[in-house]
Amino acid sequence: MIDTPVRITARGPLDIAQVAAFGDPAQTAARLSKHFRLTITPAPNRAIVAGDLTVLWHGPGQWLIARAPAATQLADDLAELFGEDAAVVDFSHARAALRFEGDGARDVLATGTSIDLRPAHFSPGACALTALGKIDALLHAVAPETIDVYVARSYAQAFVEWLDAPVISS
Amino acid sequence: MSAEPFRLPSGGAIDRTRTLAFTFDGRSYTGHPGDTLASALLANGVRIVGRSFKYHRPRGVFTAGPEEPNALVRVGEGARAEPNTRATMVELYDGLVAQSQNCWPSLGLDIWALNNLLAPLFPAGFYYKTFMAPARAWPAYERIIRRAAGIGAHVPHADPDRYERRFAHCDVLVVGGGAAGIMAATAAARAGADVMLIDERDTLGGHLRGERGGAEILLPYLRELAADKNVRLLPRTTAFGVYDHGTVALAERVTDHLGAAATPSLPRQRLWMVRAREIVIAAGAIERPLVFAGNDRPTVMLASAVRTYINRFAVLPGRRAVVFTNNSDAACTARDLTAAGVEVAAVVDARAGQAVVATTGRSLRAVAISSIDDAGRPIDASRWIDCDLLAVSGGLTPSVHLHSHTGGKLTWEETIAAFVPGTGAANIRVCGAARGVFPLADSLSDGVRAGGVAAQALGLKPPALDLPACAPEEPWSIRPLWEVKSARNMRGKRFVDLQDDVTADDLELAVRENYRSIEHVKRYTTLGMGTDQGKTANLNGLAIVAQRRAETIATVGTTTFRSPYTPVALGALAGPETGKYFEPIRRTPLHDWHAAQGATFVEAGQWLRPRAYPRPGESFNAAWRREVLSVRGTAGICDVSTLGKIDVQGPDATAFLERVYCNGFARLPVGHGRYGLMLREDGIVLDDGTVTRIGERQYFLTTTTSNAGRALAHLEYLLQAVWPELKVRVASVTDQYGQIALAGPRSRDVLGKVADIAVDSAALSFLGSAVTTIAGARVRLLRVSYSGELAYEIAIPAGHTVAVWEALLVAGQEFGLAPYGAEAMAAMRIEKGHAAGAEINGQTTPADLGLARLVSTKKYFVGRRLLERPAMADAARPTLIGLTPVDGVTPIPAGAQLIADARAKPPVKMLGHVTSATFSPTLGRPIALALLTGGMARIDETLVAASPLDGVSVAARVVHPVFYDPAGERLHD
Amino acid sequence: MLLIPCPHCGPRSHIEFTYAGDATLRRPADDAPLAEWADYVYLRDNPHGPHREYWHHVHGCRAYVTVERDTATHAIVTPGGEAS
Repeated sequence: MIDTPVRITARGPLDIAQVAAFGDPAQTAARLSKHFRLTITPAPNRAIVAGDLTVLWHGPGQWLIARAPAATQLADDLAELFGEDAAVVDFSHARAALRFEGDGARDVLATGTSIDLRPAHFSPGACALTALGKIDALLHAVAPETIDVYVARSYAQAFVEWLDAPVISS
Repeated sequence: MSAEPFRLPSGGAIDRTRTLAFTFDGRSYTGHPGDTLASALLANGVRIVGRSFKYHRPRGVFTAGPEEPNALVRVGEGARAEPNTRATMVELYDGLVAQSQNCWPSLGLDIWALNNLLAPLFPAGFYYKTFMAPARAWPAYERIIRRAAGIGAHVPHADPDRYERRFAHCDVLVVGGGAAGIMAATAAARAGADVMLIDERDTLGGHLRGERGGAEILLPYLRELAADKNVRLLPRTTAFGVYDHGTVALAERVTDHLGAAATPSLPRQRLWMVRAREIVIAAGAIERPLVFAGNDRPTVMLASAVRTYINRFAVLPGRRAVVFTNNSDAACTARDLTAAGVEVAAVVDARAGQAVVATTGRSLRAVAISSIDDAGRPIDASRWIDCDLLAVSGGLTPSVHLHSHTGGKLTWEETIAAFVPGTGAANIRVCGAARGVFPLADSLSDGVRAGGVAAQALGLKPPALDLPACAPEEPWSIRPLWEVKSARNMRGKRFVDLQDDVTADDLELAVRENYRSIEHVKRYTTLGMGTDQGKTANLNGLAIVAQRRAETIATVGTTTFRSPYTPVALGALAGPETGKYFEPIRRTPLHDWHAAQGATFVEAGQWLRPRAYPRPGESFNAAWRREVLSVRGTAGICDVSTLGKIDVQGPDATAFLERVYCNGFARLPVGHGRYGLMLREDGIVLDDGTVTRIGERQYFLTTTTSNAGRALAHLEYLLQAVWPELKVRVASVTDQYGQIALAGPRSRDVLGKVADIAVDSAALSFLGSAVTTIAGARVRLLRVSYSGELAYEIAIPAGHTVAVWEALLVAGQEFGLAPYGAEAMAAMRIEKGHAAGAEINGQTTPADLGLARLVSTKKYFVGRRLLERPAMADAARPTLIGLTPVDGVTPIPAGAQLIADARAKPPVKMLGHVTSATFSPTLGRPIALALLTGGMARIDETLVAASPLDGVSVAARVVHPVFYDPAGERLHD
Repeated sequence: MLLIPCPHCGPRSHIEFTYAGDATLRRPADDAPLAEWADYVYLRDNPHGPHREYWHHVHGCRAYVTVERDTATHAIVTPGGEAS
């Protein structure tokens, strides 16, 4: 199915949590920024990577945060940080993440989503909530020829079957 | 007989260094790369390639392009055979196998040609008039007519090919890679736009490729486009439809032209859904024929096709030709014929008052020429001229299809006697021959204009563009000649639509029978209803209708243009999502464990759930019945991960849930759960599930598997559209947690062995919730029951589910713990009269399901007001009851209607229907749940559960729906 | 394919959405008369022309997006009047 080169790797393990603001998303963004020492905005479709931490826009006033596993659970850390001021949900088991690398990465994904994946329109730092075929997915342009895809765990095997291409395990 | 006797010794865009072998109707022929099947057949002197639709008249190749109405053949074999393929569009490959269609026993001798003799019985609309009496004979006639209908035969095999879908975006999409299209693409690309240029042929160049000199003058621009990385060229790609908001659908033929040499990893065809900001349509024009007696004979051909076969394919369609035209475009046909060594016996020009009035020969042998008056009537004696090729041209018809797809209007252009695009969508621009601009120099500059305007609309600046020099052309002129009337003593059918065998007389018949709208004339006569959509027929047809009705052509108008422009394979439209890929399969964290155990699976929406775990030698029924007895006797575990799970958090979470559920949650303590019933705004039950309060402002909801999406959307709608002031966030956590139901009288013992907290009744009361660790995983327990036994639901971070499941199995071994599947789970909930999807069917209220006690009278909740409608409490409403067979053994079928008397004559009053049914292993007999008008007031009555379609009728007694442990003692201790 | 202007994700094909009906409905008060509630739940206008409606971005950010769609031409504008 893929006539230009693409390398697909399963990413992981990842510790993931979702943070959703109750009121003004700017306040929640500011607190996240301070905690992670990054500039996190409520602007949609933006992602920021720092080391092994990725913060992705995940809906209005909502972020998905992914990190390599550490001594403490990410959702616990964030729940402690925010208390009752934001909704923190543990997604540490809810997602499978695959990394698409190479010339053919955008073409492969373009068989499944109707969003504009041209390099000028989906460039590093961009992320998007969409579907690949009938499977909901979060896409993140990590580098010009690298796009990460997050799908719900229960769809992971169906997604790999849909790709009809070899996936390198993490 | 030498190979390819009609191949010119030199010239053409074919590769003479390679020879390709192919067969047609079992006979072997040769051709070359660059040939189409049609050009190769003509090169080999094959004049007859098919039989017409209705009259089975012998037909030959008529055109050189996608508008071909006659040369419909079956290409390929076995599962890859494709009927009704236009030979003019098939790129020849080595080993190609083709068959003629619509003839029996052979193309040369076709019994169905009797239809031609019986033609008076088959006028337009014949099946409304003939073969009507006696009425009882109609089924016999119909069978024969159906067998005779159609042209090709379907292929009764699954399609073995792979098809791909691709979405794409661009600034400017140019449809058509001819003179105008190439210039438009160049202008837009030079302005800096992201351009897609598509063409339905294998090589770009458009109609110039069929003319002398070919598309030479366009080559420098093509090279520039090919080198521009902002330009995507897609040959062999047809734009078959234009849709809303700049969407264009393309069908790309990726490997059709390679035959057996195709790389297996490539898809056969690719469907592109393109979102273009600007669309330029340079789709060209299609030549139309003239209508005269005998105009369908083999080797009557469109003049542009004759030139194309000579110039592009180096093929002589004949050796002695007559040219019949009414316009200036055909002028160079005689010149090209002569240059190829063909004797041009006559040029018959309607502009000079001359016309061909008849033809003769099984394959053309001679034509009759006569002078005609203004009305197309022959006015002198005709003279016969021997020839074996007649090149006809009735004018050029701009291809306005794509412009029309999004509602673009047409205007009549007298100077070319055709419709041209009028007003249309703002971002669609038509240029070149597609809008009636025919001279090459004008077409080139029109393309530049359109591409430039498209670029400007995007805020880009198109730089100057030098046009190629063109040879001067004869000025355009046409004498509209819609039909040549029959000469006296020279009868013969005058075909308008070649593919559907529609003649001018059929159109006259329709007018005489007072069919006024051209849409009705089309359906009545089938004009334009073939796979060619009447590309070479429609304009002649509606012009004839206009003349017969003494109306202008503009008044008659055209029929609606609909996509697809040319046929598209269903496989291409389906793409990769067929068979097991039609819906993605959703798997629980325990899926592989179930599969390894040999579980039988059942689909629940997109999910696969284990239905039962048959042991070696055990039947499915034996397995699930064993599982039920095991749960009720000791304990069992069930994978309930497919349930919807929703996290609800926020300062207003409690207030929100109070409004969402019809039962109360305001005083649900932290660490406790409750069954919840969610209603729709109209008071009907939407879903049921559990609500567990896991914090002051945090709740964990479960929903049924099939309603998970609907319930979440419902909550989101309420929070975003109805009560946006509420500070609440909801999130689906279905994938975060696996969920296991541990049920049975020994379930507490099993749990006690693996949990690290106390789970006795004091520590974990009915509907109590707690967090603990099992097999190293932090899990949440809820003491709740679906089966009616002492039971717990365990929510586990998905990745640890297998470990917890296996730990439970080990701990439960001494108690005989075994896994149970969906079938056992369903049987147990039916034994308990617990409503599920078959009862929560979009028509039932809480009271209908026996859950009236759950409806709060103290608070507002969604659905409250309309639940108060008097009809919602009507005593006649079907409400939930139980059924048991009177004879104690006959199963009561789910879906059966409940009636009073099995012998009643229709119409029979229906009292309700059976919603769920099973064999109860616990009670040893069949049981069922049903919705019955009058409900529990009819307890102990005997009714009949009838399923006439299955011929089943069971006497059943109305009982309480809770068959087992009605007091619920086993839930508590 | 229709292009629905999601205010968060940007313009997206309608296949990412579920159509969610009239966006101009005003929910009656909890204790409003039954007839008003019945109208709210069951009665809809069927205009030939502009229609303000919800599209639920289920395969995207899950926002309920309000647009004004011309039911005859499918022209879509955001409620502020910007064309998609």
